[in-house]
Amino acid sequence: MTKQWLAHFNDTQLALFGFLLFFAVFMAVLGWTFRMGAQRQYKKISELPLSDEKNYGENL
Amino acid sequence: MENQKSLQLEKVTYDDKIVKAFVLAMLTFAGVAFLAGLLAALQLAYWPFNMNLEWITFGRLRPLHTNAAIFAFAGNAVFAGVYYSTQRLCKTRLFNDTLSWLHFWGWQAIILSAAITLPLGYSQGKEYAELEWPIDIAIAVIWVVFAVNFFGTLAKRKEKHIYVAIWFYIATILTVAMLHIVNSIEYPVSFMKSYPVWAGIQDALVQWWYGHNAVAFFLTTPFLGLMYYFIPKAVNRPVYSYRLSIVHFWALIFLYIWAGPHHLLNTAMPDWAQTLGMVFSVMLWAPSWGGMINGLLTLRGVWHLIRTEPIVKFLVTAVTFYGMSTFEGPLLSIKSVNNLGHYTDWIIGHVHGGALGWNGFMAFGMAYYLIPKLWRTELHSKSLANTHFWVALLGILLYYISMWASGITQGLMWRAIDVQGNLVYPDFVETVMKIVPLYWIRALGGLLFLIGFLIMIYNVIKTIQGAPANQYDTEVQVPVAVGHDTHPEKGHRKLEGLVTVFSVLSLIAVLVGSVIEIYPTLNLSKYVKEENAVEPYTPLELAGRDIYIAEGCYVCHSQMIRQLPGDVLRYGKASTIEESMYDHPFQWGSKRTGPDLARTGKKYPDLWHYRHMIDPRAVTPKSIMPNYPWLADKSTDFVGLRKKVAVMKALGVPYDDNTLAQADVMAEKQAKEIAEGLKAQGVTQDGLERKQVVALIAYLQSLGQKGKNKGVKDDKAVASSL
Ligand code: HEC
Repeated sequence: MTKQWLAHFNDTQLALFGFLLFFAVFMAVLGWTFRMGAQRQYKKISELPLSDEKNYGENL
Repeated sequence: MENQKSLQLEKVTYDDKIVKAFVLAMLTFAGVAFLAGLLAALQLAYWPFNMNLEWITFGRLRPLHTNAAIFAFAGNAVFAGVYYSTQRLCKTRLFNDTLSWLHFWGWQAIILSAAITLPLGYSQGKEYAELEWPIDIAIAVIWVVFAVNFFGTLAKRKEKHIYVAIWFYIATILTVAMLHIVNSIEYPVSFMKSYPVWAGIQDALVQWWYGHNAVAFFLTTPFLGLMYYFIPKAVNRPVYSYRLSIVHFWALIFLYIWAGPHHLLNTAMPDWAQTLGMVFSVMLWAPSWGGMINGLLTLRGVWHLIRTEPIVKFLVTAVTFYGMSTFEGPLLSIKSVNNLGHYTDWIIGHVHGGALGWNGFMAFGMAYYLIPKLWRTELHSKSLANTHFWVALLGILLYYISMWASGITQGLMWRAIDVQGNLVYPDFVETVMKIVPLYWIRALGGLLFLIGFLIMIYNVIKTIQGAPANQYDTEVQVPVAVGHDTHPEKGHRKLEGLVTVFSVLSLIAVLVGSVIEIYPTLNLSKYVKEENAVEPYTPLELAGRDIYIAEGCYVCHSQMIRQLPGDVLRYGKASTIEESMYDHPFQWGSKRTGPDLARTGKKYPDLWHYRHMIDPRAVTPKSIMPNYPWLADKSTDFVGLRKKVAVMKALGVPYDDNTLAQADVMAEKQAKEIAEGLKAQGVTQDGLERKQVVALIAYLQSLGQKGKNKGVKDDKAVASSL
């Protein structure tokens, strides 16, 4: 079965395969960023550059 | 915070010295890169600017310029920014001081060796990968040092979360390692000479997979990381949307790696691979602009800082240029636009929009931010920084607009066909003369950019001179517990915090596209037809080819006739995959400052080439091609040919045993025939047969003269019958 598929595999399908793969990755990432609790966590992480020369506690 | 009192705190000292060192190195090599660029620009406007010195003739200077800009200027900028921000984002000192300094000195030594070997003509003939094998190994070693130091720092971080900038750095480190290693697999012939294991279309695909992703993962992802760090710092507010930055990251690294084939549109590359490159390049527009918008909107509410703060001016303009380049790139990847733009100055304009506008201005903005901070003082003069900005911006615009005009002029002239079906401008040099005035404007643009930079240097020197004598490193207090989280969230295993998982996922993302992009090379038998096979170069032609590579002829000449009417009418029938099947490295080229040479063999007599090489204007009065008088003085290395042929054979080129054993004798015989022919036509030179120019002529006369095409003199006749 696999062997047959490989034998008839057409290179042009690679572009389609790549496109679908990208779509899947994109949707997965999008879903991941909208998971529960993400926004709160992202808000905190996004502030890391602003407190990186402050001592512990100063940025709280 | 109640639990805070019970925490034990420790002091962390960031390593600011290493950052200072990289900043100074970046500024030093920026000067070198800009100066080399200006000289190269002047040489195209007026060729005698090479002062008849072989070391700075265009073919050798251009690789020096590109390598200096990418690896010395941008490279040192990236290392400075990565080391500065990573320590701070991880709240820890860099992993190991010795590794940091080994990285620093190792990288500078590599740059120095490039600066020596490229002008001497040691080159692999692959763009942005010209450096010979011992330097390639050094690059790999120092890159590993960098990686260990970087990942070691992440491992001992005191901050649990990993900020998005660091993701971009991780992708950079892993992907550049992969690209460099795969593209540099080569077989050494001698201490400073090697042949890549890849040939022809394989080499083309691997090279542009590398070349395009050098832009992606050396000049884009690390700079995006810097953008996500330094713009929030400069305007003192968090990035516009962290969520968008995550989507930006994954979409960008996933898509970028597929786009390499857009450098090979309309060539002999299989159609499906061209479509693949085009589709993915166009898709790339979306994440790129997502990133740009995210960077720009970080300024929400503080747009006035663009007016008052030079740092913000530079950073914001850089991001704007990023947006422009990433719009233009996909545009140029559309096949019909590419027909017009490829091989022309349009591409050079596109590249400089990215390099000067995006990378240059990011690096300058970062330097204006870092230098006063690191040296614990104020910037000497804000108004000089503003002057730098405006002068440099004007420079970029002049550069960009002139190259755009020049590129489109070239593109249109090359393909103009009259009603009878003939080329309107059959004489290539006519298309060159038309754009020389634009070359002067470009050089002026480059000069302005350089002047702006010199203003910056003055400002930096004054700033550092005014710094207090007591220089110290930044210190912060952090909790002793590793990876301490100030808001522990139970039950969430966060991907953003897991370096290893994250690295593996990014590697998979770039590997998928890579495998598919290079796939035809693994499957070459499908595309190479036995009946169209060509025979290998004779030993003398091989020697000539090495001279062609050493002189960097490929930076001005392509060897790939595209499947387009304009190309076919001008140069003969379209190049086939088989015609370069033994080309280690391939020489398809990327720029036609001069005409395509794929079928130049037998187009002119030997004497024409001899005179043309010594002084192109002797045969083509308005040529801008440099003189190569030294080729008539320097001797061909006949003895080394046996080894070269043996290495080629080991790489799969079908040389017979006789050629293997007699390579030098055969070459000397062929050289003698050519030299005698030249002498009969009046060339008077002692020992002509031993000179490089003869080997080069042998090579040029063999182009397009292999296999079925043997003896075909006028390819135009063939072409018009198509
Ligand atoms: C600065 C760019 C530049 C470099 C570098 C350069 N050339 Fe040229 N070359 C040109 C231009 C422009 C022309 C067209 C005008 C002319 O015939 O000289 C040309 C023409 C030629 C032609 C004639 C092609 C034809 O079909 O008419 C040959 C052959 C050639 N070059 C070989 C070389 C070789 C070999 C080298 C390296 C040793 C080299 N060129 C380096 C710009 C360059």
